[in-house]
Amino acid sequence: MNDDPTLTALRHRLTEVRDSLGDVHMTIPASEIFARDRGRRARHRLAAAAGAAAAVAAVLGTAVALTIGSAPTALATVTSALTRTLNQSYHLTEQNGGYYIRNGRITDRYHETCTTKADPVRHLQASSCSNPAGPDGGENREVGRYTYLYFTAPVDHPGKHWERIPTACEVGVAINGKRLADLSTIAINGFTIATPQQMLSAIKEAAKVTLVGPASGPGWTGTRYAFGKAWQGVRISGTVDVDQQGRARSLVLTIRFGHEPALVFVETQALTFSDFGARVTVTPPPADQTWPSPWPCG
Amino acid sequence: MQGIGLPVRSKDVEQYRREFTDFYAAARDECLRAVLVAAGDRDLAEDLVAEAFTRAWGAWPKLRQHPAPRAWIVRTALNTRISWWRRSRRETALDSQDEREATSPHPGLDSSLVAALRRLPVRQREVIALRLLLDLDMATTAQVLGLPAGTVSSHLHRGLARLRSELPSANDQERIT
Repeated sequence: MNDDPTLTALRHRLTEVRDSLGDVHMTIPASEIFARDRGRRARHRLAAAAGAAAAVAAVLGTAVALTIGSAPTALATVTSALTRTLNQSYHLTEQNGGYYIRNGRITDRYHETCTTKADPVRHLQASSCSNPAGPDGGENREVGRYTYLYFTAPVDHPGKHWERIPTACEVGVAINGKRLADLSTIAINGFTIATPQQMLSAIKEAAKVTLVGPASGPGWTGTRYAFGKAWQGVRISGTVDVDQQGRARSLVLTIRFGHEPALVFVETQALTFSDFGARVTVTPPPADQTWPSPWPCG
Repeated sequence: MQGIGLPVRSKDVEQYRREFTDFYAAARDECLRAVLVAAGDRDLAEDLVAEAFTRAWGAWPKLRQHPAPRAWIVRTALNTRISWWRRSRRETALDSQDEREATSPHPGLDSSLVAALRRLPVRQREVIALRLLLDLDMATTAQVLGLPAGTVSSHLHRGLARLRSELPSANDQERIT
């Protein structure tokens, strides 16, 4: 490029400023980068593993007490179905995804598939997820008070594979400093929020639940309901399919954080429940394969 | 025991980990200095660069084939609005208000220059960071940004022109220390 003298001076000024920073060094070791990534994966994985409960909480967080224009029967049916579903053993498949929107373009798209077997009454759960974008696969188990996360080759715990986290630890999402967890009771311990009392206590804010029409799946027929809510830069919308036995069979959820032109993050979950009442067996990993979580909650 | 459909074998993970560790050791300071000039705040810059490297490791199987991974780091750091510190508290804030202002400027920096850089449109700031602070050539900068070379040149010229207009001393300043 053909610079005039002032532009050339400006270029020199920029590079000289840069060159004057020779004494500036990163103080963060590579091990912490790995740990940060692991923590992020773990949080995402835990949130995904509790997808049923988190998604249900999000629905219930939207499903308040009978706003004008919403049908009481739709709200009551959905609430009852979700409560019933999460209080018996089940199998669950999830399609979880998300992406950012920056400057009108979709970036950093991710997707994973998870399968879960759970017995909420006995506090047992095992989930496996695949994430093609990352170097680690995903698996976790919940047995009683602890949740265990699998890592392929943790650099700071050679020879071990399972991080142990108290199940009661909560994961939260904040918008402008206000925790979303306060609004929709998202917790990594899905079983805690799955009790009817707590689920009902999650129904605090106005929203709309409407009947859409018939729904069906392998071996069941039922009814589809839609829900939606927006507050503080967050928009939640989706559908719940309820079978003729009054159980939630399918839940599709989209959460959108932020407004354009600022950075927007969109997260989607599609949950399919099956095998209600099936016997679930989950065992903790061998003790010599585990280490306690270094997170503050751990 | 592995997750369902685990796409990468353990030995690949170990190889990736070694590669990434080497890359981090070689690139981190250069990336930090480039981001620091644009961000102005030492802690913020390190925060942003660490966030960018964390994302880089998460995408390393793909990013390792990138033609200019350092540029990817700097670009990601400059564009990120998600504070690691919020994340470290297990919170994600996705709002323009989350973009932190420089509160502790680095003493070696020209504050007026940093302020002017921060006011540039994102594209102009990216181009200046990659071309002038990372010393990338025009072709690589264009490839990293996914823009034609002519557009990169245009952004660079406009960015510099805007800096010049906002920095009166640029006309007569010969050396900055």
